[in-house]
Amino acid sequence: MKGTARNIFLDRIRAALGRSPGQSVEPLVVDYDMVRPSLPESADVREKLRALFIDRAVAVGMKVLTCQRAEVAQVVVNFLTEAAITSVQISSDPIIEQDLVEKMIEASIRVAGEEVELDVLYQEIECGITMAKAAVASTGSVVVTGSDQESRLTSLVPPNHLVLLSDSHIVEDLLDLTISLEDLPSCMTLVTGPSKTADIEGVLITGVHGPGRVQIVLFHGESATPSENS
Amino acid sequence: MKDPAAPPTSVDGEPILFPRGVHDIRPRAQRFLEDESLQSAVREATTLKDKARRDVLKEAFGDDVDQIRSIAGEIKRHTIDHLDHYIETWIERAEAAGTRVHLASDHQEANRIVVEIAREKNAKLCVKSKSMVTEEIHLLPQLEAAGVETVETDLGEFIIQVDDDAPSHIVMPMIHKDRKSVARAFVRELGAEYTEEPEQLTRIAREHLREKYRRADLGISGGNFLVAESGSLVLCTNEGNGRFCTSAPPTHIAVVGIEKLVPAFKDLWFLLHLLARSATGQPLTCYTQVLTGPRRQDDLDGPEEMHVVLVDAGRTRILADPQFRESLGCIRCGACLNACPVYRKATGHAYGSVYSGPIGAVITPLLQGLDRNPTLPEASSLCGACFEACPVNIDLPRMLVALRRKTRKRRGTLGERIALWGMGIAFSSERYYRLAASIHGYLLRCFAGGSDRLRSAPGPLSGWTRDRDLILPERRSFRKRWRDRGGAIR
Repeated sequence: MKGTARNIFLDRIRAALGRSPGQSVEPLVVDYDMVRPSLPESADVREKLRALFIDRAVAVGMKVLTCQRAEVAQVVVNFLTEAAITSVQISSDPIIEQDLVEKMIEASIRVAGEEVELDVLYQEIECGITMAKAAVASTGSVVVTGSDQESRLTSLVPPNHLVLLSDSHIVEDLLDLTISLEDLPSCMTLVTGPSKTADIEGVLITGVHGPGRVQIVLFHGESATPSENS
Repeated sequence: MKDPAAPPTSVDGEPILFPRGVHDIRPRAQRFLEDESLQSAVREATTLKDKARRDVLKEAFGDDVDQIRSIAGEIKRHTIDHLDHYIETWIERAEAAGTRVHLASDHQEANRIVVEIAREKNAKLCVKSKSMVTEEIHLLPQLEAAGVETVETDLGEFIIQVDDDAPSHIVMPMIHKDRKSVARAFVRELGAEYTEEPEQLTRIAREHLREKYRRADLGISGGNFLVAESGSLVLCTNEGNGRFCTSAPPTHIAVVGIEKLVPAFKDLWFLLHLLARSATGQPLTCYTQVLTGPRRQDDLDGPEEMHVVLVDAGRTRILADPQFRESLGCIRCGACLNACPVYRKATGHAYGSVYSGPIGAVITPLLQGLDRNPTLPEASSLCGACFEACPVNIDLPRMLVALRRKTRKRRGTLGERIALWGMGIAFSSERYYRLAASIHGYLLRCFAGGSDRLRSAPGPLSGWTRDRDLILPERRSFRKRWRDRGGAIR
């Protein structure tokens, strides 16, 4: 029954197009690279992408702190302390930055995992900490996911979102994001700026429903991933 | 007392969106022209966004902008020309990822599907993000009638819902409202303290809606793109409400038009480079979500069920007509609205459709019937600004003319035929042209009677000036001035 209704629906579209079921499609050939940014030639590709990413991320209203991999925990704690943030939620992925949780607890910051009660998440947690899977230099975006390692709500509910990003994960353009169709997460989100609106008389306001502040900690060096650890 | 289920009405007493019977854009446009604050709000917002679009496209792509627009158009046209193939592929991949796919031939069927899911889930509270197609099919009254409280969560749409109004722009839904009306509505409907500060008003909405996200048992969204190769749904939003609606409630339903497909991720990325830049001047919207099925077994959160309702509702009819097929390539950026001199003056509600401006003047008659919207294709000066602004290179002026041709089955009146015959002669030689131009200027100045504009012409010409005025030509023609400056004339 369901199959029949579906065929009727598709047949109507086919009839409108003058096509028959299963008729093949010639792949579209166009110059996708036209949208790539034109970057100055330079020997150090990573440095070039890093500079472009920072420039674009700042332009859309995100903040970027840079450091070496070994300094990540200290930089995060310093940021939280200066921002007077006393409670954070952290997804399991960044916990692999081993000493991060320890350092935060030492600094009297309350650290919750993803099992935290919704009441607490909505009312008490001031900052969500996640690990960026990738970043796009040309648009200044960081990629966060909803998966078995990362909660969708961590980067959404608290008023601050802190993203850890390895500079080895920055790609030049959206076109360079490696999408594996086999293990695409259920939710992949490109974050390009803090939550914003200009609905009331065009006045720009940040922090409408999502985080009003997005702080990126961009570190030099590879990030540990679970597969590398195991 | 007003029936709470009745749709909000406009100056003519008809529903703002989709009036009953035959809709004429002119009486509403005339009333809106007299509203000074509406005029200045819409003028400012559209001029600003139009300039932002040009600037950022130029900055990002330099002189390649037009070539990029034309490639983007090719991508959408290729998809639309093979829509059956891409829909079939998408359905297969989406179902493999656990998405439940529903097909709706018309409005009624789409609404019935959504209401049935809501009933099955025993939903009491629904949070909804911005979606044009749900306005098109009148989904909200149906949900409310089924006992599901439904809350719009996009700030602009929330305000519009609270104030019993309707959106007037595809991207900036409350472009026609000022902060005072928001303040009054929040006091009246939410019991808030009176404030006109946009920051404070936003906070009030934020607090009100956070509670709703937590309690909602259903989330409804639209969709910007469907990626065939992965079966994904793509949402482009700025405020974060779209992420809440698709992450917090246990059930997510996306209502999406069948034309939203793209073949593969590379096509998606290409179009995304243009969508936000054309809409608001951003490189990308703050959040671009690629959703592929409901939460997986080990996922930490996300909806347990994800449904996508693919809506036809007249789209196959457009598909079948090669003259108008390309209108289905529209990615709803709103750039043609911002660029259009008629939209800027008539403003969104005059069109009587959730799709206003040049794209609305084309697709509203195609979706709802030209007989119900005979004047919409006339709402254009055919200046071509919409075509130039369109990121997917849709030739809107060509289609507006084609629609006008359909409403003109009869030959012109005798007067019109004489006028056109006269014009034919005037344009047939330089001498006749110069003679006609000077007579034309002389007559216009006589009719204008000392004013700098022609506001009402006599006799049969009065029909033309009923809706427009005309700046008078200079006394000294361009050719004369050119010659006086020593320029050569062939």
